Amino acid sequence: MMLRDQDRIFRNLYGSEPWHLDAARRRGDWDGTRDLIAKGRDWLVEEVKASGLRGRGGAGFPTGLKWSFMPKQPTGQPVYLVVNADESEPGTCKDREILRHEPHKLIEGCLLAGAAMGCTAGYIYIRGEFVREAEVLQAALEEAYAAGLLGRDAAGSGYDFELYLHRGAGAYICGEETGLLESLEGKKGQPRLKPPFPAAAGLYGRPTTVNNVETIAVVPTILRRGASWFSDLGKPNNTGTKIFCISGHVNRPCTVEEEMGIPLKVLIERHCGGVRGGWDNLLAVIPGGSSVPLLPKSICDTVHMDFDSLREVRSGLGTAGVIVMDRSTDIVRAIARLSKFYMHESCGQCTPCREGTGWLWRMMTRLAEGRARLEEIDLLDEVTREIEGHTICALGDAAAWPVQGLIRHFRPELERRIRAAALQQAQQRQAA
Amino acid sequence: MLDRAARSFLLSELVSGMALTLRYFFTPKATISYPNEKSPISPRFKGEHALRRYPNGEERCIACKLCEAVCPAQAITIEAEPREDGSRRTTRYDIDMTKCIYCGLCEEACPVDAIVEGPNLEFATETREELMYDKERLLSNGDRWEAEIAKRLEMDAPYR
Amino acid sequence: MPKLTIDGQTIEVPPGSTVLQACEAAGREIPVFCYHPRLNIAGNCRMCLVELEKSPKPIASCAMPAADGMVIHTDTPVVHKARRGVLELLLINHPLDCPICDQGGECDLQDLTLFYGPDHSRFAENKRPVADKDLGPLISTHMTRCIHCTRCIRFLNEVAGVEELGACARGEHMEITTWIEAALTSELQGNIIDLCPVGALNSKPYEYRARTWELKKTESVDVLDALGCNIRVDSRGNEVMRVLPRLNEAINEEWISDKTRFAYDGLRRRRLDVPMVKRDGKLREASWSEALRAAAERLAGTGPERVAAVVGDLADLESMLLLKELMAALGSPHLDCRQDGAKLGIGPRASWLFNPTIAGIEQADVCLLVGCDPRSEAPVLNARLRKRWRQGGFRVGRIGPPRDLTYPVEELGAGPQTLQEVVGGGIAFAQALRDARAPLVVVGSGAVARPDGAAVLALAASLPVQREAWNGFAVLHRAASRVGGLELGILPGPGGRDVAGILHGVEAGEIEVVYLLGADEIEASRLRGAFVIYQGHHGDRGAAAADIVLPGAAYTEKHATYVNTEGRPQRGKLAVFPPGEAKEDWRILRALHDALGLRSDVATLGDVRARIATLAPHLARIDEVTPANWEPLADAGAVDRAPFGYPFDDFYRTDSISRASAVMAECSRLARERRASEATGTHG
Repeated sequence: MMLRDQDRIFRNLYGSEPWHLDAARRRGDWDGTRDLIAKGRDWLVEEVKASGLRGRGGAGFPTGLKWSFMPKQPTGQPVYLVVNADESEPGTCKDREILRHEPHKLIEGCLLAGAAMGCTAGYIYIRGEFVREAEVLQAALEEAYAAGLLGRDAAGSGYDFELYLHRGAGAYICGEETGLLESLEGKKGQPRLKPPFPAAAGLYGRPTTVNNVETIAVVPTILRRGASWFSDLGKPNNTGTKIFCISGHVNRPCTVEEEMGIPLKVLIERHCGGVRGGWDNLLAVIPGGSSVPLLPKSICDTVHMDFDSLREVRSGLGTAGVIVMDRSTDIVRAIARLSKFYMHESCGQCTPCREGTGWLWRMMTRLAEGRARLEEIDLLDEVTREIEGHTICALGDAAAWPVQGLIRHFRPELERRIRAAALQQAQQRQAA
Repeated sequence: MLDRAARSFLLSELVSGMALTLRYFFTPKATISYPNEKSPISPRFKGEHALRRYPNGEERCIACKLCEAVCPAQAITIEAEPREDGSRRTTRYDIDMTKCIYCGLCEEACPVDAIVEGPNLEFATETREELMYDKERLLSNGDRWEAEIAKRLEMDAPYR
Repeated sequence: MPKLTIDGQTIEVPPGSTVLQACEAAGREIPVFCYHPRLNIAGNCRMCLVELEKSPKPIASCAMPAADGMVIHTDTPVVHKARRGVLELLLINHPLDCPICDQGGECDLQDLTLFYGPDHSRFAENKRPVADKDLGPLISTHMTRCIHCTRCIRFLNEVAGVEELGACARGEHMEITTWIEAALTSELQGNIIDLCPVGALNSKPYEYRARTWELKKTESVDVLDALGCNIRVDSRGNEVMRVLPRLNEAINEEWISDKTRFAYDGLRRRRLDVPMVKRDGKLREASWSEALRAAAERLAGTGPERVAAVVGDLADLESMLLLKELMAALGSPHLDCRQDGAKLGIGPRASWLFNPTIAGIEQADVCLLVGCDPRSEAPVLNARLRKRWRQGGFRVGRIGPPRDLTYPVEELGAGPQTLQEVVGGGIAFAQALRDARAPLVVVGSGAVARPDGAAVLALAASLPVQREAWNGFAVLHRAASRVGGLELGILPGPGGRDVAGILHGVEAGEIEVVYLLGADEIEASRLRGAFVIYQGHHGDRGAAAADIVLPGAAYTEKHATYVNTEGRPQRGKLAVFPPGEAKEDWRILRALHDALGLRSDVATLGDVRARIATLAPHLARIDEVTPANWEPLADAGAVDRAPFGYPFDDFYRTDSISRASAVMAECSRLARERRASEATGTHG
C-alpha cells in the first residue's frame, strides 16, 4: 500500500515547479473556486465534515466540527479566520514546504474556509524565522489580489474576503492558538483562558477559527475531489493524507505526503532509505514532533502512523514530525535537550509550566550525567504529573510528555547511569 | 528470741552501720568544692543568653522577632529597622533576665541560631539593673562563649 | 440561574458567576493567589483547580463560568494533588526567608502552604534570584519572592489606570518590572502592597519595623480627604506602625490612597505635645491649668463681637459642637468651618452633599465635573469613576483646566461661562445630561471656593440631574470636617463673619481673639494682629501664629465622629494615645468651658454624642447616609469670568499631617521633578 501519485494533494511539495499562480493553476489550484463557494456555507462545512479531516496542527480536532461552531447567521460584526503558520515544533517542517512551494493551495483554502464560516477577513500568522517563506507567501497573496481572487468579490464569487499576512517574532508559544491571537493583537504572546473558546470570542473578541496551514491547504482539493475520495484514504476516523517529516538517523531524511495510518516501519524504509545501520539499529522514535512521548523500537516495529493508533501506545501523531534515533543516540541527553527547549519557550504565565519546565530541565541534565539519586526518577515523574493537565495551554503537557515517555520506556537506562556515576564517584574517592 | 538477743549482744547493727560509713569513707566524694571545682553540665544546659555572630563577624540576628513572640515570660524586647545596607537588623534587643524563666524556647524559635542559652550560670549581679541585658551585652556574651556554644550546638545537632 | 452540584450540594448561582464563586456560595473554600474579585481574571496561579465531572483535566475554577448541570468536586485526591503540586512548584523558586519577610504572618503563600502544601522541599537545584526593582519611595521590592500572580499589574492597569508595571521576558525568566526604570506615579500604588499575596511588594516606610502579630489593630476612619475611607490603624506600643484599608463597599471598596496609607509618619513629627503660652514674644511650655486659665481670661476679657473661631479641616464632630456651644455662650457670631472660603452651607442640606453617594457613581451614565479634580482631591473616588468608565457607556465632561484623570474626559471649557452654556443647553453635552438615565454633576471645591461660589453652585444645581429616586447633584468636599461642620451649623451667626471676614477683621483691628480649632489652611500671617489660641496636633501654620497652644489629638488618637462628603457619619477610634500632655479635643474644649466658668452638663463623650443626636438625629445614625430632600437653589447673582482652579497642586501635602510627613515630602518632590521634566520634554 502506497499513496498513488494521483491521490497526492501537494504535487509540488519539493518545489520542482514554480509556486507562481499560473503554475499553481496548472496543478489544478483555483479551479472552479467560484462554483465551490456558490454551493453555500452549509455544503462547504458538511463536505469537510464528511471528509473526516482532522486538524493537522497536532491535536487532531475534526475540522468540520470546529467550523460548525462559528456563528451561523451573519451579525454584521467581523468574524475571523486565522491560519497558524507559526510552525516551530522541533522535528516538523511540513508547513514550511507548503508555504514555500504551494502557497496558492493555502490561499485558496483560506478563501474557501472563510466562505464556509462567513469570515470577513483572514490572517495568516507566519513564524518570524520564515523570512523567505513569508516573502513567497506575500508575493503569492499579491498575485491572488491582482488576479481578483481575493478582496472584494473574491474569485468572482460575490463574497468579500481580505487576507493578511502577519509575521511573528519568534516565540514557540505563539503557535498555541490563543497565544497566537494575543500576539496578533499586538500583545505579549500568552495563551488565553478557555472558555471562552476562540469560536465564541477570539481575535479582538470576535468569533474566530484558528486552523493549521496544512489543514487549510488540503481543503480545496477535498472540496474539488469530494469528501468520499478523502475519507476513502487512510483509516476510519483517521482519513486522508498527511505530510510526514522524517528526520534524524535515517539514510535520507525527507518530507513526504503519505496516507494516514501507514506503518511507521514502512514509512521509514520506503521513503527514507531505512534507519541508519538497519532497522535493528533503531533505538527509539518520536513520532509526532517533540511534544509527544517517544516510542521504543519494540513498538515502532508494528505501530501505524495515525491519531488513534499512536494514542493507543500512549504517544500521539502530533504534527507527524518523526524523529528517528538509532543506537548511537544518548537518549537521555536528547530528551534533556527537549526539556531545555520547553523551558526556554514557556511563556511564564502559569505556575506549573513556568516553574516546572526549569525544574525538569535541571533534573534531566543531571540524570543525563547520572548525577542523581535513584529516587529522583520517581520525583521527576511526579513533577511531570504536577505540570501535566494543570496548565492554561498544552505547552505544559508537551513539556511533560517526552520526559514521561523516557521514564516509561528507558527507566533501566536512567538507573544504569545513576549507578555508574555513583560507582565512578566511589572509585575516585577511594583513589584520592 | 534467742536470735534477737544474740544480735543485740554482738552489736551487729552497729557493725553494719560502721561498715557503711567505712564504705562511703573510701568511695569518691559527691560534693565538689565549688567554685574551685565545677560539675559537668549537659550540652543542653540553659544558662545565660548570648547573641552569636557569623565567623565573618556579622551578627546572626535578623530581627524576625520569633523569640519575642514565643517568650512565655515576655522577657524579650526587640526593635528593628533596615540597616544602611538594607538588611533587616535589630536596633534594640533587650532581655530582662529577672523575668526570664530559662525555658529555652527562644533558642528553639530562632531560625538562625542567633539567640542561644549558653553554658554560663555564673552571672549573679549586685543590682537588679545589671540584669537588664541589652544587645551589646548579649553580643559580647556571644563573643566570649562562642567556642563553647558552637561545640554544644554541634554535640546537640543529631538530636534536633 | 445555573444550578450546580458542588460536593454533593446543589446550589443555584446568579448567571455570570464563576465556578469559584459558586463554590464559595456553597461554603467551600478555594485557595487562590492570582484571583481577586475586583480585578480581571488571570487564571495563572492554577491554585484554584477543582474537579469537574466529565472533564479530563481539573479546571481553574476562577475562570470557568458556572454552567447548568456542572458537577464539581473540591475535596478529591485529584484536587489535593493539584494544589500540592502547584504549591510545590511555587515554592521551588520562592526563598524561604519568611523570618525576615515583612509579609510573614499575613502571607497567602505561607497560609496556603500550611493548609494544602508539601511539608518539605524536594528541589535540589539552585533557586532563581531576581534583581529587585526600584519602584520609588513607597514600595520596596523583593522580586525573588514574586510568584507572578500579576495582581499588581492588573491593579495598576485596571483600577489605577496607569500602565506602569508589566511582565518582561518569558518562562522562568519572567519578571514583574517597570517598563522604563522609574518610580510609580499612581496615587493609589500602595494598594499593590496589600494585593501582593507574598512579600515581593512591601511598604518601604514600614519595612522591617514590626511584625504583624505584635500590632494592635484598630478599625478607624481616614480624615485626609473627605471620603472617610475606612482604615485599619496598626499600632505597636504608642506608635502607629501602618495604615491599611478596610473593606467598605459603599465608600472605598478596599482601596485607599497613598496619602491615607503613608502619611502616618507625619503623626510622629512636629507634634504639639505640651500646652504653651507666649511670654516675652516666645511660646513657652506651660501647664494645662495655666494655658487654659490664660485662654479663658483672654476670651472672657474680650467683647464677644471681637472674638472669632475657625474650625480646621481635620476637626471632629464632637469638638466642633463644643466649640459652637462655647462661642454661643460667649455670644460671638464669628464662627466658620469653611477655611477654603467655599460658599456652601447656605442653601438646603442637599446643596452640600454628594447626594448620589459614592457607590451610586456606578449607576451614573453621564458625568459632568465642575471645577473638580477627583484624582488629587479624592483618588479613591476617581478610581470609582474609572471603574464606571471601564464598564462602558459612561461619558465624562469637565469644566475646568485639563488634568489627566486616567480615563477620557470631554473638555468643555474652563470657567463658569461654560457652565452657563451647559445650563442653557447650548452645548451637545447639555443634551447628553438631559437625556441621561442617571446624570451626575460633581461640583468640586475649586468651583465654589471663590467669591462667586454661591452663584456657581446655584448654576450647577439648576442642571437637569434630578430623576425619580435619583439626585445626581454631588459636591465633592476636600476636607473631612467640612460636611460635619455644615451639618452642625458651624457657620457665621447673624451678623457674623466668615473666614475672609475674620481675617479682614483682624487686620482692621475689629477682631482681637481668634480661636483656631486645628485651622491650618488659612493665611495665618494675617492673624498677626490678633491674640490667637490654637488647639490642634501639629506645629503647622496655625500654631505658628499662636499665642496659646492647646495640644490636641490627631485622628488616630481619639474616639471621634466624622461626616464624609456623602453625609455619612462614621466613627474613628483611638489607636494610640495622644503624645505627651496632649488631650482629646472634646476634653480640651470641655475644660475651657470650666475655665470660663460656663455651665456645661457634658461630662463624657457619650454626653456630647447624645447632644449631637438631639441636635441632628441623622448624625447619630452611624455609617448611614440620610438622604437630603432636593430643593432648587435660589439664584445667587452673576458669575465671574475667571476659570476654575483646583484646590490641590500637590496631592501629597494637603494638611498638617501630610505636610509633616517625610514620606509624603519625598513623593511630592518626585512628582514635582516629574512635572518639571515633562514640561521640558526631557522625560524621554
